[in-house]
Amino acid sequence: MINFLIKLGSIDRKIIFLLIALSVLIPLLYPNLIELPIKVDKNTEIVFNSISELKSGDKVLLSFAYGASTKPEVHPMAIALLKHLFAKDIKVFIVSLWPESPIMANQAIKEIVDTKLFNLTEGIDYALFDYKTGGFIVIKGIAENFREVYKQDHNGTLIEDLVIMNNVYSVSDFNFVFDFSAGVPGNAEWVQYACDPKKIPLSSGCTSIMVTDAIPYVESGQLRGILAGMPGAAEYEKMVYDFLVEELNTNSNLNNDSLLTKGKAFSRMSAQSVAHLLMVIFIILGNLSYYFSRKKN
Amino acid sequence: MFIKRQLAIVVMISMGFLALAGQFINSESLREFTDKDAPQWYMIIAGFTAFLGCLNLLQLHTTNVIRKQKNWQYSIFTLLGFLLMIFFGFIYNGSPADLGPHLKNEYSAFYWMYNYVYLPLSSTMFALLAFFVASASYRAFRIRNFEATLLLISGVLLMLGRVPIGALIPWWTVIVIYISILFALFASKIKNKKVFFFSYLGVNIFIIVLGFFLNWNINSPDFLSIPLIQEWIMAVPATAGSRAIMIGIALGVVAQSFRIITGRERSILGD
Amino acid sequence: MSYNFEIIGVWLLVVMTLSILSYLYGDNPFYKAAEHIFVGVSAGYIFAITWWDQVWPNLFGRLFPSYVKAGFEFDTLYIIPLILGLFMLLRLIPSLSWLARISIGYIVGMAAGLKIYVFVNSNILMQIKNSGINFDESIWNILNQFLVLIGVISGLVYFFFSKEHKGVIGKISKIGIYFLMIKFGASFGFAVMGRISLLIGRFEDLINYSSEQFYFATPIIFIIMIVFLFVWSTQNDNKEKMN
Repeated sequence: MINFLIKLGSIDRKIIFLLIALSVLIPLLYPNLIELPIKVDKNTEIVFNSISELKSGDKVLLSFAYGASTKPEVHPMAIALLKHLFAKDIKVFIVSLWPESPIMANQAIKEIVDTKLFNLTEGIDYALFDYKTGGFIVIKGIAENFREVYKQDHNGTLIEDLVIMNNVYSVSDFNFVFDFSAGVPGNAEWVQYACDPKKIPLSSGCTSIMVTDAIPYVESGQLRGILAGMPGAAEYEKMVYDFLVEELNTNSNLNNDSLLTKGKAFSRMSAQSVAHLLMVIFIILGNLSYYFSRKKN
Repeated sequence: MFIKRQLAIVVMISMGFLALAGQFINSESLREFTDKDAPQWYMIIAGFTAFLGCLNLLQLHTTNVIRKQKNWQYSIFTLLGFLLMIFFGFIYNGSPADLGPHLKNEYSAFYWMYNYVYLPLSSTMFALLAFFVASASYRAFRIRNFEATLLLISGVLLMLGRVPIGALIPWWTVIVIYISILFALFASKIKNKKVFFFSYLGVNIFIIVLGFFLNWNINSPDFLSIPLIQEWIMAVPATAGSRAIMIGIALGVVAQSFRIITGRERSILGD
Repeated sequence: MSYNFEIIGVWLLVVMTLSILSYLYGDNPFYKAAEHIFVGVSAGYIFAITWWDQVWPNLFGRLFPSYVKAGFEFDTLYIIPLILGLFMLLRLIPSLSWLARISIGYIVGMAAGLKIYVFVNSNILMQIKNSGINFDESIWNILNQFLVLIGVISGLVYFFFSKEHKGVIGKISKIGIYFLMIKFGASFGFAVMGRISLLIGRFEDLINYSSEQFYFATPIIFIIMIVFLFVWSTQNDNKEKMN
């Protein structure tokens, strides 16, 4: 047994790759094999409650700062948040800080429109703006003078002709800012250049890898909660789904003959759980092998 | 010569002071420049920097092909990919939208290239790392000392606590984990292996039986829930560590920025 | 003859995905080709989007407002960023590359000036303020806040390298290391989580595109690649043996 454990320590890495691939593939192929209940994290609850406190007609600025490489983690959060905002009749303004973000934002809006859950009109219920280079400078520009950074929306419609842009001149005219980020510029720049100086509530949904760097802002209240990677997205999807199910027959913003779905992150959590368990087993086996081989030597 | 060497430094110092002064001096003309025009100029120059990167790439791979350097055949792929995107971005539209907005129109050739070529390449590059992280964890993540143990325990608790499976881990398993950590800390003080083994077993059984008496099997306390332990780790020790790093980095950035706007840091300009 | 561009696109997507994943077997022509295509396509993407979204409306919209129609008015001052932008491009010509330093000086100077204020405010003062202890809260919260304060101070002491880490300073920095190790462990856990999430996204796409609707793209391309890689690696082994 001990010799077997020692031999395991020098196993060919292709076997490890294969096991990881299977641990992800099998739960995806057979989603009903493992059904795990989702427990909502404290920070996800804070995000949900912050959005729930907003009222009909409030203005929320969404910053899309992610691309194709991190789409599986962040895009489901964007979809869930858009559903939450449109269900509460909140006006949505979307800006893009990464080169790929305009396409991500377009895809997110298209997915929402395709659900037929809401009756949305561009320019009245939501507006999309183009990508601008400069990173934090764009955020600073939006904080001081939105109309100096964007003269038109992504279709080329002048900002003065957009009904939704009435009385919107800077970040101070928004009730909330939500940032979807996968790096720089991201939630840190929104805290530093816009929301801290102008005292506007801010929250963020980001990739898992950014969470530990953003946690000081969360604990100090500069960020109102955080959606941490795909598990955070799954938790938020669950909360929004439960909210929409409750509201489906009573909320005039929702079309009650359309189909509600839980969301992509939710369905991926069993694969995520199995892969994590396998990782922990790898770490334990690796350390056992190391311990016994050291003892033998 | 002043223009070749000093002008850039003068521009750097002037812009640094203007940008900083704009935060503190309430002058309309200064604010007009620092809040409106200066950022716009920054964004435009940053745009040209992106062009520089692309043209440099073009230059590099063209040289590779012309001089038939190592792996020059692959450089043809790079050039083809780039030129195809430029063709679809500036010449061939394929969608009802005008040139410009067509980039985000789902019927344009540019969007097609993005969706079916760029997106899978970009996503898979990052996804590939999952395999290497797993392999590295298996082969290199070793408990060599106390600090490494802390790192490992924190990582493992987080990996389990953030996913649904963490909530399914029973309370008595968490007790075993706590007692194992305690015994690992004091292992060196107990020389006799039999005493160590039996005391470890005894303490585990005693606490678990006590737990049944206290009805922890029905209503387990927070400190025996992996997700809640994970939340505490993030809220307290991880926050403390991150905050220390954040403050340290901020002090470094402030010091470096002062060096830049006083003209002491010239290496950035390529000197 | 009309083509179903979606099917062609899906097959291309699967080829690209499996080519990158083939790196798990080892560096091979599929991976190298896909990598080079990625570099070229990303550069082209960034070029096009930066031009149409940034430079065309914001610069040329101000220099030629009647032609570009971006909603701006004519502003002669914007000759300056045009000149600075062109200076940046001159970095490609060795004899004129010194001109790019002026543009870099503008960018670096402005970024430095802005960062001083925001970093002091958001990353130093706000963080120090929130490391304090609120004695109105419960005992458990006070204890946690105390732990955070100890962690922050000891972590900062660890990064103070102007004094040797001996005696009291040594002990405090040791405690700082413990907090930092917990933070790094948490970062590792999240890094694993993130990578697995991205892998799940890719596998989902591959599973979707293995259906009849897409003419079983994934299994067919997977098998073709396996066969090719087997033949290629055998030929490579033979070449190495001969050498």
